[in-house]
Amino acid sequence: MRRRYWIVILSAACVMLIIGLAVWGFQERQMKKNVMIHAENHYQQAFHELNYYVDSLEESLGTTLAMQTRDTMRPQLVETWRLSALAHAAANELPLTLMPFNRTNEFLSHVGEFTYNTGVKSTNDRKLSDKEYKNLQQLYSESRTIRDGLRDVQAKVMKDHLRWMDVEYVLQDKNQNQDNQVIDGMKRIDNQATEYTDSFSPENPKNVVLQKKNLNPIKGTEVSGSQAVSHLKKWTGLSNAQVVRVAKAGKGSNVPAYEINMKAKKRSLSASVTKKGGHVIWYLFERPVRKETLSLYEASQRSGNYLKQHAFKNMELTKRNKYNHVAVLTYVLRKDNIRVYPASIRIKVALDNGEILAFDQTDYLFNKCDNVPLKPGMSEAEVQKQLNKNLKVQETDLAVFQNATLKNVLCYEFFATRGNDTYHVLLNAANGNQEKVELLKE
Amino acid sequence: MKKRLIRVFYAAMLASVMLFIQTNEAAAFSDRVIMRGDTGDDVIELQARLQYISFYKGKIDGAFGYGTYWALRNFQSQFGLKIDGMGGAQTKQKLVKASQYDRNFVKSNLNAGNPFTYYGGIPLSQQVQKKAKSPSGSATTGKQNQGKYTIDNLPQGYSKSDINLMANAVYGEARGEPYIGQVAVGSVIVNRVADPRFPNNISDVIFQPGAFTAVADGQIWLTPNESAKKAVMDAINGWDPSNGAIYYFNPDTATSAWIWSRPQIGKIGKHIFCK
Repeated sequence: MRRRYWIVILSAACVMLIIGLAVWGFQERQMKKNVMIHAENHYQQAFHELNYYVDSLEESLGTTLAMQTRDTMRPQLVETWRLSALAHAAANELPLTLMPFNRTNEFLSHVGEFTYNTGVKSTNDRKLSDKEYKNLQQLYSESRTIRDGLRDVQAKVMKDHLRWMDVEYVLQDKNQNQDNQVIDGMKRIDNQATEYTDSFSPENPKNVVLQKKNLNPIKGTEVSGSQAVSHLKKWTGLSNAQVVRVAKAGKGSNVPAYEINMKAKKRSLSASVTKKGGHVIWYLFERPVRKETLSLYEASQRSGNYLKQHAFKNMELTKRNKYNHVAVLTYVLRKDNIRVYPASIRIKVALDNGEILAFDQTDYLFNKCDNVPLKPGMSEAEVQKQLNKNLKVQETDLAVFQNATLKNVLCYEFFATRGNDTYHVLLNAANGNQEKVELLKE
Repeated sequence: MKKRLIRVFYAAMLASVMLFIQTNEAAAFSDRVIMRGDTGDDVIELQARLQYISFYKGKIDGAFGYGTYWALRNFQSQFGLKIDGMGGAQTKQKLVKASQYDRNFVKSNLNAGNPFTYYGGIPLSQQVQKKAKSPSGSATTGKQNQGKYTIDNLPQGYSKSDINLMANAVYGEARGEPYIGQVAVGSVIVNRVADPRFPNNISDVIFQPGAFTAVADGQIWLTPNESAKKAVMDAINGWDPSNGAIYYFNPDTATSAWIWSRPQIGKIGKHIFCK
């Protein structure tokens, strides 16, 4: 009698538990489903937006081609510029980082740069040059290819109810077999774009390290790994350092170099040394710095001495940053009394004992900047007329500056104030064009 | 007779007080040379003194920026000093002679986070806006500023929140890596911002879907340590141990076949960096 009683109670409890679990599981599932739908909708929105913007972009570029003067063209170019930015933003919301969807992005950023430079930035009203017109045509035909490709994918997505969440899973899957219609479609777009990207290159990537053709040829003879190490030891003054690893930089590196790791004073030092000439490109010798006994001025004396010791001449200190008890000092080359901004060197000094913690001369070594005429075409007074009347000029100088299209140009450089704000204005010394205005943060 | 005595007494008092102030002031600046980019007590005093004689009209915040720089240069030119925009011994001497500095007033208001100015000839009580005492607001700002009015000088174009976000990403992605590997991850983010194929600001690069595993699995929201923050500062100041990489992956856990096809640059710690 008693036993039966217990069995009933136990089985009732079991049933309750099972029902509870089921309800809980169902709710979890429902929640997960909601989140999935939410994420999927987000991707879908981005994808359809991308389609829409590329569509309008193609139309807009086409319209531009029919126009004559820059004045009439300008609103259309600005519209195209806006559309390219929106399309780029939409494209970057898709989970495609791990696949070659680069060329569409690259195309969009080319359109953006081109329309900005021809439509927004340029101040004269002459017709587009033949070269510019040709570029525009190329961009137009390219936009059609990409639009068609995207439309194909879009049609498939709609017809077969393809999900972007699956794309994400497939791309992250270890399985090499990426059998997914969306991915196939995107890859096709990417392949078709190849021809275009090779033929049209208005200023490809922006980064110095990414850009091969603007690199300065490095002087010197090839050195071996051990020679590179001894160069580094001599450069850093750490003759007793133990070498941990010397490796050749892979083929992705722009400059053939050795990657060197050393141990000295119980700390590790990492550096890069060029194969040709054995130049130390940069090194980092990290350690914690806890107190501050040196002033920035003393730190700048240390870095100045360091440059002297390593036979750098005519370097001018332009920037000083102090944080976490270290100082980072930036020097630029001063050639014929002209600041050459692209040739810069950075030195990091510890403010507890003045040790040089890190050094970087990537820009100084690799940036090509000897191809600029150092004679200004206009006088300072003429150029200064372009400045806003509310600006009070504090300092004027000549400087070589790398502008947004990655060309080195000779500029008049004005440091000017308006109220409590300080501006750095660079005006082209040949034609007075505004190359850059920046509001300097304190 | 009595009156004269009193007068003499007062004069003597006044003179000694003046003398006291004078010596006190002369000893105020430390003997360091101050220059643009500096932060700290000397800069606070410099700004306050320059403001006292109406050369400096900005905020007294202890960061020697361009505003202070031009003020100091103007001062130097009007007082016949060498115009170098640096606070050397001579400049400081002249400045001390020409101005006054009420350390208590300046410091206490700075610590309390009160907006204030320090112009000569205006009663100090009129130059400060005491904050309304709300239990949360003023207390927290006071604490944050306590003894720390220095602002880290950030490179042009980066904000404090960019750096915090990058520190989170670097910590989430590479916290077990050697320091140099953390700097390299930071520079990959910087390189992506510069690359036209990627978004052109820090937060969009970090949150691009699928770009970083730490974002996908939520590890980006761990609290970063000092090392990650330092690594980020090195990366945005221009050190690039990745040598221009825009991708990296861990060969043990890499799931994408495509990533292996990228031209590789080098290996740092567990990560392979590539173009």
